[in-house]
Amino acid sequence: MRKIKKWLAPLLVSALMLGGVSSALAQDAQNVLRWTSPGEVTTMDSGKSYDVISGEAISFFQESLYRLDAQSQPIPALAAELPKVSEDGLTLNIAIRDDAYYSDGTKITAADVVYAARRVVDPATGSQSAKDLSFLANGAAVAAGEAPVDTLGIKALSDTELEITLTAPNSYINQELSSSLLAPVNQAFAEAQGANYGLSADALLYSGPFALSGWNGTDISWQYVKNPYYWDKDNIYFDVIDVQVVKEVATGVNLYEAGELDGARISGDYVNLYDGTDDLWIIPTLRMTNLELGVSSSEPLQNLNLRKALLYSINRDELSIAILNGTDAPAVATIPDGIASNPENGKSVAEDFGGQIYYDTAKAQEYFAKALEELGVDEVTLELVTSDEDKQIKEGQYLQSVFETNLPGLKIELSNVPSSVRFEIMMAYDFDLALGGWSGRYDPTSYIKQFETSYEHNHGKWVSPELTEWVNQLETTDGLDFALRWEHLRQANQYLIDNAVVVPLVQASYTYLITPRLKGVVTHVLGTAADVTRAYFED
Amino acid sequence: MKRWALYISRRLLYMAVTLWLIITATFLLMSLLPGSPYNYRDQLSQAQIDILDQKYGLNQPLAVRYVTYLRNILHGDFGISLQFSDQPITKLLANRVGPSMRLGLQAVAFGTVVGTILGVIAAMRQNTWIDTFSSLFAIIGRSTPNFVVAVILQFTFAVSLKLLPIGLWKDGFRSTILPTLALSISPMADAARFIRTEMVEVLGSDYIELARAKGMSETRLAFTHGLRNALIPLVTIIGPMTVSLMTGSLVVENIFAIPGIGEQFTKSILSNDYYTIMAVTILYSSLLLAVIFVMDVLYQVIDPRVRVEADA
Repeated sequence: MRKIKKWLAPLLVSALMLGGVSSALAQDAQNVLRWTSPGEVTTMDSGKSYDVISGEAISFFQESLYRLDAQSQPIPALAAELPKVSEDGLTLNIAIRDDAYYSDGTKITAADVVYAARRVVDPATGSQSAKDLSFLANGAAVAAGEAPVDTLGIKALSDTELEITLTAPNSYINQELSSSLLAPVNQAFAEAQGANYGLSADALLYSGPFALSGWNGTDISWQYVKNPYYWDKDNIYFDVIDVQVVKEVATGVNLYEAGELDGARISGDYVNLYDGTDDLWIIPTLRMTNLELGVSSSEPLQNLNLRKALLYSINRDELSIAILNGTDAPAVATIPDGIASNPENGKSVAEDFGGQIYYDTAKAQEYFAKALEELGVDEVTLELVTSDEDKQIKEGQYLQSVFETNLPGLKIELSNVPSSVRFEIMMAYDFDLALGGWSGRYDPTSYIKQFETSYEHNHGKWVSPELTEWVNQLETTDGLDFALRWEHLRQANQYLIDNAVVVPLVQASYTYLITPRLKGVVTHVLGTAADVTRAYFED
Repeated sequence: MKRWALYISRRLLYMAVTLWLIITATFLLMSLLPGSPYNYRDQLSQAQIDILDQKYGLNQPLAVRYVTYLRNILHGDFGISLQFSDQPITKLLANRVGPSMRLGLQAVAFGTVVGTILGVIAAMRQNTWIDTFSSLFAIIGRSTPNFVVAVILQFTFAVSLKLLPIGLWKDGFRSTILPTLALSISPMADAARFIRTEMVEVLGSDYIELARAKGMSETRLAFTHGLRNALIPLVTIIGPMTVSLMTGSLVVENIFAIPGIGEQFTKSILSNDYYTIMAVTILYSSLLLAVIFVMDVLYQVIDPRVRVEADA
């Protein structure tokens, strides 16, 4: 009996603990925001960041030359005003704010921006984002290790004067200059930290509204603490933003409902559950999901009518709402909506290019009948490669059922593989159909360039001199003529649709629950979807 | 005593060789993994990939990489993570291993103790409702995935009754209670099942009959004489069970938002984070080898009949 008692003691203690009353969570409600991140941050180093999660985190504490408003229009940040552009569109002069300081009180100068840019493209840094600064003169050459870093097209003329030289005139340059890759880095500090730079909260200096605290590399919770030296600190309302990584959507929703989080990323059925409430935010992104066609490796797909049959047989509204719970919006063109607008009338991609991709089974069947006749077969079998992630599996199954139902005689074999394998297959240019995606930046050109003959990510090896010509013009001379540039984008998009080079499916969006008393949230199609740096609670 | 020293040193040598074999096999298999460790691969040019490969030493032939790697780990350098841009892996794992180990140990301790009690009681009250209940519990516990239990516990005790935190690693012991319970279901069920079966057999044996005839109480009989003999099979499974629980449960950790290492392993494989895969494998294998070693020593304490090697 004595022994049983010994064992019972810890049991009883556990039972008592179970019955304990949850401590009241006293929070200084006005000054602390309890925010969330869907995963660990891979890096807090603004020069090495390449993924959405780390980009979002960095936007709290590093500030670049410009930041973007909800319409993706640049607002001067570290820069005092918008750039002065030379007549040939290649040289930009930017005044740096005279009252900008890091979180330790060190003054921020133009040289810090130059150092930051050189650091990103320097092959020694190994930044996976080096390519994103190739709009700077010599950017690509420096990144490839073919030119010294000091030949990069960025110079400090004085502490407050920055001169940037571009490879080509660029209509989206102000947006590009808002990239946190150009957030200032203090050379002396970075070199003193050496290999430790950016690996923990105290191995960084902060130029933005907040400073990072309580982060040691792979944590799942950390804080942003208001930066007392930030030039615009009067417009920053939270003293502390507590961040908690919550990967499980249900847990995030439970914490949100219990009032332990002021926001949570959600997906799946929760989107329907919160549909129509003030808490739900659906924020579109520039991530396109496409059905990629292996034109070079799949003989049947070299038939235009077969490709067109695929293009017209998908009900994108159904895919978006019934299959993906509204987390993705139907694609309107090969270029996502919200990225840019017609410079003459301000119309968005949907309004200006839209209406080309639609659902018409009769038309699809007509194309398919022609295709079978031209190919001289009764049946076509195509393999569809998707990753083994839930979402892609669901999308793959949907496409299989739609194609096989709408186009009798077409057989789709699904192949779900790890996403790295899917990518390898596409990079080997050897597949029939594959679920792919593309996330571009402000300049819509990359969505067109994806199918340009010499481009390595032209997975179907589509060959078209016209497309090459458009891409050349978009990347060079068009930078001086916005209207012509828009026209070329339109023509190239039309070409891709007419030739069914790709089957655009949906455009991803993020869905958040955000407490309705939180005001001042700014949404973005690129970068931080829900930006709360300048948010506040309504009394 | 000399025999013991010899036994232990021989065992340690075997362990080192086993570990080396595991490292070698993993290293070779890993090089066959398709894909690349760069997250942003679809936006990188070949020139950039070459530069990155050179930076991380991935452009070297496999044999050279293998020798370099072995030399480095002998110096305690497990390399840097390619996913967590350049974070040293020792730091990455050190930050995360604590919560997983704590939960694992708590779960095994709680689970086996409760399971053993259930098993003993069931064996003592054979074919009564207690026995049926215990068996039913064991079957349900063994067949219900721990994440289902986790969700039920979270919903009941945190969301509805508001007794315990929904998740997060902020309230010390209180934060560990629900995940521990969720993880302890399976060791509990296993222990109950094994102990019951063994105990039924042991309690029917002659020496127990003798003790009973001498007038020893049933409880004392079961716990002092019976249990010790029934523990052997349980000890056998406790080792691997402890290791697998200590090295983290991806789903349970995600459900309770716990900073454990459960996800690191899966994620490192999916993202081709070579050195993290290696480090986690080494960690897991070392723990398993250590636990097996401890268990072998424990057998000899529990059951004198097993003292084969030392006496032979």
